[in-house]
Amino acid sequence: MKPCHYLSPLFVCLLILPTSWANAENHTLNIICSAAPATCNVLRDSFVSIYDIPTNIVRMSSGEALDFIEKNSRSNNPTDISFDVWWGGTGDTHLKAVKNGLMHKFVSSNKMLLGWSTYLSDISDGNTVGVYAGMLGIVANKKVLTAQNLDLPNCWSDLGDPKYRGQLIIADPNTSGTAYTFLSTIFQIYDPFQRIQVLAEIKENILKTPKSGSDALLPVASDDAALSVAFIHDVPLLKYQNPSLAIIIPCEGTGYEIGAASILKSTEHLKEAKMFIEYTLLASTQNVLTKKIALQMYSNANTLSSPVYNNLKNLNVINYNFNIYSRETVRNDVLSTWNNLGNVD
Amino acid sequence: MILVIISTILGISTWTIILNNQYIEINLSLTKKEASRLELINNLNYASLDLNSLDKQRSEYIFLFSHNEISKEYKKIKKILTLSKDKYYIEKIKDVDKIINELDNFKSTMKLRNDYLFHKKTLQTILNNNIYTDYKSFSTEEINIVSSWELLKDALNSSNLIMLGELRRKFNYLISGPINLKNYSLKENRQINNIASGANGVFSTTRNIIIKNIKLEEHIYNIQKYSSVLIEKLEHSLASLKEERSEKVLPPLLKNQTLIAISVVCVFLIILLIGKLLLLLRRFNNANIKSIELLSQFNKIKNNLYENPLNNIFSKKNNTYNEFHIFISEILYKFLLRTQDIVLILDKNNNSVINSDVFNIYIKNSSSLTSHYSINNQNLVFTYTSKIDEKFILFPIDYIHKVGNFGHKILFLSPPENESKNIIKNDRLESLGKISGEVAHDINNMLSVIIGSLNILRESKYLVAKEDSRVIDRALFSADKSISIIDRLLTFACCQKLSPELVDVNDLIEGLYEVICFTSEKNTTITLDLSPDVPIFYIDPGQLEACIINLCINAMNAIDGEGRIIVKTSISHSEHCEILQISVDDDGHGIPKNIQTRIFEPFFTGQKKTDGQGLGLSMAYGFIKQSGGYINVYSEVGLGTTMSLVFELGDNQ
Repeated sequence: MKPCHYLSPLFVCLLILPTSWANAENHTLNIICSAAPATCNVLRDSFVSIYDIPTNIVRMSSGEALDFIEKNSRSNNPTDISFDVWWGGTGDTHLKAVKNGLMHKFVSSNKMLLGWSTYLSDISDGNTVGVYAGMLGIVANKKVLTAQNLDLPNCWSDLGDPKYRGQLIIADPNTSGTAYTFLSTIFQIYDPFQRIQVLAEIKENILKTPKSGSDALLPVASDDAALSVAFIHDVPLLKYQNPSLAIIIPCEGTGYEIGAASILKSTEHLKEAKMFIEYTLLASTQNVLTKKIALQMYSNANTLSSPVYNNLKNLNVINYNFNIYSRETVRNDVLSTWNNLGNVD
Repeated sequence: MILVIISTILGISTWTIILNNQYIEINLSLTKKEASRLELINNLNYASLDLNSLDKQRSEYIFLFSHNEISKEYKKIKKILTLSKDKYYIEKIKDVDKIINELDNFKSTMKLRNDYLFHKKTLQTILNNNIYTDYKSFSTEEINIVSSWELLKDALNSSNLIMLGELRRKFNYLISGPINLKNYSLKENRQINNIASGANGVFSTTRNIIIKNIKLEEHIYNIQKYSSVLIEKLEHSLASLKEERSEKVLPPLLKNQTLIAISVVCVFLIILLIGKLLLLLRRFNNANIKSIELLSQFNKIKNNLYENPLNNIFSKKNNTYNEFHIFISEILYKFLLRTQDIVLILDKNNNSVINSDVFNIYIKNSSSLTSHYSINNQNLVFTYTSKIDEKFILFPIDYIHKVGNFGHKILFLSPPENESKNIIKNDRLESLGKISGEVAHDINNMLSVIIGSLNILRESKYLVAKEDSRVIDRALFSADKSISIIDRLLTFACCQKLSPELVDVNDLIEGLYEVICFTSEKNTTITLDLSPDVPIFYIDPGQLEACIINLCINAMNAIDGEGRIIVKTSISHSEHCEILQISVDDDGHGIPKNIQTRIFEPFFTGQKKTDGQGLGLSMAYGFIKQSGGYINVYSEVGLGTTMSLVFELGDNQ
């Protein structure tokens, strides 16, 4: 979700150069994929093998994708490739693009979609649909904490405890979707007075603020820091390499992201675009992803449970308000509150 | 001496004025325009703060009450803007309209949410009737059926979309996964699916409730945002108005002159006040009471009272006040305002000078032409003549304080010992309640199954003959009637699930007036005597209505020929709290003493010919007990009965 201000049409052309052979075809489906690269590739390969529709995928983070789509819509000279689908990436960025009128109406005919998936569709007036969801959590390195004689934190507010001074790595919410979700979660849990106090204390404990959520997680995985905030389905792979990692669902409840899929207004292949999204909403497609590729919760009720989220006791989530926290003004308020809390060395 | 006092006061007031210089300056310096803008900001802040009371978890009644209050606040703000000729204000009407509009949207969403909540209750009842408890005897497939029912129950109680989604996934896996319920029982499987799926199913209903809750939060957020934007604009305009005028402010010398003038006026007023006080003290000198001695007496009283910090308000009953009484009552009123006790002031002949309101509560049922007080062995004896004979109430005396030289005394009393006897605490009723509750609960469960099955049978396409439908209808009618009896028994046993809300009791009784009149005979007069001081009270309104109607029906049955029924609400103060009483008073034949203890027993009726089942008072008894109150019965054969529902109001009410 990091906005990429240096992204230019030329840069995008360079990104898609390796797959430019596909552009020669008139019916090539061009997809911006904001999910993990492995997920994007599996989806493209299986879709091509079943439907035999040439498909081109460009990987961008949510922020980059939104920035690119917005700039392209404003530009008099859009890129020579017309993108059709934006798949994956946080729901709030999709909603923002919807609010700016950049998406095409698309309501899935799949009747097995879960409530959170259709909720995203409802609040976007049928312009986007939820494909996966993931919960936010605290990631702790038990080895680092034990070495310093520190306990595991239990709650978001514990992250502000002075005993964790210099132990916390949280990405910059101005550039990281994970960190923004964390901030807006705190905003939704605590009242205006408490949230300032909690966030100020947490900010005091921050060691450094990398640009992306994954960069914030790596030092904890490599025993260089004790605590971070991450989407918990991203942790098991790292935990496999470093068993001292622990996932904590904060006691106050936690926020979550909904990964969305939308059809771009500028699409020239509406039928194929719909086919692609419908394909990704099938239980059979999602089962392939949840078994091996990415461990989120998927939107089809018949898809298997994610091994990360199969314990119902851990699903202590808040009713995250995507509609409010995707608003530009609200986002600016949230970010300026955080930015004004003082600078981190 | 007087000069010293005056000069001290003069000095203090001048310093006070100087210290408060800035405050006065601010207030005096506000122009009319600025003051009105400031008032608007305050109103907006006030209304915005009140939004927090629109808690999504509250009941519809509380919501409507809060919503109306907040709407009124915003409409008031809009009116100020509309009536103003200030262009700046007229431009802001749009902003307030946006807020009012959002409030209306909030109301619509709330209504929808409540509809879903109502449906949720129905689903809950169905699910509760399908939860089994004895797992040991079940096969694997049966356990899966049980699990799916329990899973649906969990889903109905989900508070977030993620949890609901994962429960749906597990449910789908259970009914169509490796252990397929389809193979087990078509009927059970169809029943489970019907309740789970579809627009009115468990998952859809719960999803809609959660989404409406999110939407409600969003409305509140929007209203607060619009409000704060408007406040910001008004504050900005207020600041610029002040800035504009700051160039035209009075020179400092003139400001000082104004201050001096105000100081002089203040000092003059203070001197006047002191003069009046001295005049009053002189009057008491003339009455041979030394003012200093008297004041020290009252200081002693004050100190004693602060040691017993209680709360009380005095009423002045005696019309023949002399100066002493006026003085004593005024001073004591001030001193005792924060005290709570049964207080009585008697003169040397043991005539009451002042009764506290709390004391009046205890003697309220003892009103008679003749009554007198006497002190006997650390007890105050209040003797009065009742309709039949002479009675007395014994108040243990905690403390007597003698005042002045007139022989007046202030008595601090404990509640009368026999008071607790009026509260109905009957072990027999407790046991009956326990047995009735258990039996009623079991029968209720079985009846639910019978009604459910009859309903299914009634809608069956195989049912063709009209006569069959009639048989089922008759069975359903009887089952429904049984349910209502069971419901009342459950209420008696305090097992009924209450849905308390904030209720305006007076409104509720006024709403019942026509119903009560409709059920009464023509020659019975129904009168409402409702105290305006009755606060909004937290209670189940439906049950309270039923309870009052039952009391009224009993009163009507007790009246032969002409008669009157008074439904009364009153609020009084006891030792620690306020007491709300809802009473139904009739002038019927009364209840004989030998059956007064049995009137709350289920199926007990004192009427020879009646359609009633003898459950009305039992239901009332159980409901009032469950709601934290008690029923007071005062009845005399040939004179009438007063049934009072008594509630002690705590801080939360």
